[in-house]
Order: sequence, then C-alpha cells, then structure tokens
Amino acid sequence: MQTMRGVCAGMSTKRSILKRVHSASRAHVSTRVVACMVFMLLTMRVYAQAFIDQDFRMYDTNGSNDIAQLVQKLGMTVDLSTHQSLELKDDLVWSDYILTGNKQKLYNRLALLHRWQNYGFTVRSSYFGTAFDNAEMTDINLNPNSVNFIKYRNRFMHQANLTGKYELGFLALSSYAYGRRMYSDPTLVYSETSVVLEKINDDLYAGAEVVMKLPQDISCKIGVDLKQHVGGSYFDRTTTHVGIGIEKDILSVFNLFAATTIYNSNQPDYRDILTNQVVSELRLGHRIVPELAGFVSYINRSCFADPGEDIYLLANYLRAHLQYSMPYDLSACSYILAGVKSRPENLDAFHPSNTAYFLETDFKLGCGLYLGGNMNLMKEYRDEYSGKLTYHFNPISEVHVQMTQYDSNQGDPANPYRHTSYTIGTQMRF
Amino acid sequence: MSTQKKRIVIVMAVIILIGSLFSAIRTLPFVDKYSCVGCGDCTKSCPTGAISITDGRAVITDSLCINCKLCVKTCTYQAIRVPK
Repeated sequence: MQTMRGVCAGMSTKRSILKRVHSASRAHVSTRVVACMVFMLLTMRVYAQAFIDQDFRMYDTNGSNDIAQLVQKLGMTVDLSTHQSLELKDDLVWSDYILTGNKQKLYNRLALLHRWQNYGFTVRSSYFGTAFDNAEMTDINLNPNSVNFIKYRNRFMHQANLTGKYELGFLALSSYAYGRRMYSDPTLVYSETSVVLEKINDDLYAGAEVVMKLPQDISCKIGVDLKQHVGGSYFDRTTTHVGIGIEKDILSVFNLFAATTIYNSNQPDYRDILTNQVVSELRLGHRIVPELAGFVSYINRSCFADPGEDIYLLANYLRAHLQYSMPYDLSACSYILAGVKSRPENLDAFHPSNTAYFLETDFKLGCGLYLGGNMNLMKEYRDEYSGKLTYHFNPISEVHVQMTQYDSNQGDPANPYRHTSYTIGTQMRF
Repeated sequence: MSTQKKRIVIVMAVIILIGSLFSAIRTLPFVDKYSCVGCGDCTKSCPTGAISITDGRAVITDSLCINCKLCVKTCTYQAIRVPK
C-alpha cells in the first residue's frame, strides 16, 4: 500500500510537472508562434536558416531524488532583402529540482530581431519577452531598503531595444536605447506594513560611443551609458568611459591585442572606491600551423576612488586555449583541445580565486559517428568527466547521447555536486 | 491528444522533414551563435575576408567563402561548424 501510494504520488508529481510545462508554453504561446512562422516562411520559399536544439537530461544524485531538465531552443534567420534580415528565437528551459544551489526554474524566452543595413548605417530593433513559472521565490534586489523582508517571484519581463551604428572610414558612431518592464509578485516575509510592494518595475537604458581608428593599428573610444529606474532614483546610474587599444600581427603567426578602458560611475549605492574602474586586457593569439591554434589572454580589473589615490585590485582573469585539429578528418571536426582558466589573487569578496583545467576531444569514427570526451577539473569546487556519442543523420543535423560524472572537491560525501547526468538530445539545422 | 496538439506535432514533423531536405544541400561552414564569443580569431584566419564580427558574433558571408575550413580549425570554442 505504501509503495502504491509512492507510485501514485510520483505519477501525480510528474503530471503536475507536465501541467506546469504546458501552462508555461500556453501562457506565452511562443513555441507555437515560432513553429508556425518557420513553416509559413519555408512554404513561402523565403530564404531562411533555422535550428532546433533539444536536450533532455536526467540527474542521478547521491542520495536524492532523480532530477530532470529540459532545454529546447528554436530559432530562425530570414533574409528579407539584401539589406534586411529578421531573426526569431525561442528558448524553453525547465529544471525540476534544487541542484547545487540552483532553484527549480521554468521559463520561456521569445526574441524577435530586425536588422537593416545600408550606406554605412546599421539599425537593429528587437523585442525580448520572458515568461517565468518558478515554484520558488527569487531574491531580487529591487528595493534596497527592504531587501531582507521582501521576496519576489518573477512573472514576465518585456524588453524593447533599438540600436544604431554608423561607420565612416576611421570613425564609428554607435548608440542604443533599451526599455525593460518586469512583472513580479512581491511577498512580505515579515509583517511590515510601511513598505509599498511594487508589482511592476521599469528601467530605461541609453548610451552612445565613438570609436576612432588611428594610425599604427591603434584605436581609441569614448562613451557614456545611462540607466534610469522609473519610480525611484536609487538605481539610477551614469557611467562614462574612455579607452585605448592596439592590435598587431607579428610574423604572420601571432596576433597581439592590448587595451585599457577606464570607467567612471555615478551611482548612489557605489562605494567611493568603486567609482573609477580600470579594465585592462592583453590577448596573444597564435596559429603556427593550420592544424594548431590557440591563445592566451589576461584581464585585470582594478579600482580607485580619485585620481592620484591608491589603486586596488578587484580581479584577475587568465585563460589559455590550445587546439590541434586531426588532419585525417577532412571536415576539420576531429580535434583535441586543452586549456586553463584561472582567477588568481582576486579580492575574495568580489570574485573568489579559482582555477579550472579542461581537456576536450572529438574524433570521427566514420559513417557519421563521432566519439567525444571532456574533462574539467576545478580543484576549489568539483571535477567533471563526460563522454559523448554523436550520430549525424544528415550533414548538419545530429542526435547525441552523453554521460557526465560530477565529483565534489569540497569533502562532503553527501554534497549535491556529486552526481551523474544522462543526456539525450538533437541539434538540427535547416 | 487534442486537435491543436496534433496540429503542432504535424507542423513540427513537416518542419523537420523540409529542414532535412534543405540542410542536405548546405556545404559551407556556419556559426553557432550560442557558442561564439566574438573573439575574432576566425576573421584573422579567413583568407578571403568572408568573416566579420557583428554584434559580438561572427558572421560568414557565404558568397565569399571558399570552404577551406581554416576558420573551423582556428575556433577553439567550437562555434564554427561544418557539414559532416
């Protein structure tokens, strides 16, 4: 009887999950809209490129219930004319269970983008709409004065974007304006009557930048970014930046890029020391032979209160990739990639130090079959090992199965980082 | 299964069928927009200048592409794919 009850409870849970997925898609109807438009445009013989990616993943955790995850991405790009294109995208993400600190989530994001380009002008307009159906509350810092006793549940987010760019020889001018509206359900954690719970939050963003190319492969830029939170000035922000960069080819084998940008922000919740931030980047790419490619990059973020005062380190990022493509695969898709990502000597409160070493391979077996493996070692967090078998049923579409093992490096045997995932998915391009 | 659901299944099946026919004739490399980080390594390796970075992502001009696959070998993010 107990077992029967358990089975019934399990079935009921699955039914409720399916209902929630269905209700989210019904709420937004974007998947159907995209599917119908793809079909319509294909039948109208408009030149379009479309893709459908789907992954269904089951997690087998240490001592916990099984977890399911579904990721579905649909998209299409249509060339309306020589100067115009239209892009449609739809992402559905459903994750069932709290995993390594992540909450259960279900959202559907629809994007519609239009691009017009002519006479050196490029104008893009786009709309992003996201519908959320999360079971749990999300901590969002919408009201800084009452962050500890108000919890929010996201419902919808609408964002409209307009960007423009004009290129004239050595000069490039660009500007943007975004408007965002978020609907959420706020809930008081403690009884506090003096707080007004805002269900709708509006943000406006605007900015402009001028980039000038100078002789000797040097370029410099200057720009401004504005943010205004409608209904309250606490999150208003004005940021100006100025930067300089250089890009050089060395011996036709190496490529060097170096740049520094200084940002000055004016925001009420910024501490003085963060008012001025400096981001410096150094990147050395190399291609010694066609089969061997890679790069080393270093990014440093520092800050200071006023010119002439002490400079403080915020974060360091170091990254290196080295890839060898197997000559026997004429499609250049068999490779070995080794790399490292490191954040050494960081300010722990800003970004804790961390290092990851990774190795990735994919080998052609023949008859459209590829066998791949992946290893990702993060000594501060966890290690990941995965194997993947891919079958290409036509030149650019595939079906794959993947198994990934996660091991925790944090010493707790019951840690949810320790689990195995099994994935089956497809990637189709039209 | 409701009539509406049946319609959606039929539409999806037709899309996949038509897509398979279209994709079978494609031979040139294409960019996976989810994987591309806009580093620009592919633009430097392309001998015909067929690749540009637009909105932080690589874009291949098919009419200029000679299918040499140098960009595929250069991209260490596996963001440029080629029909296999």
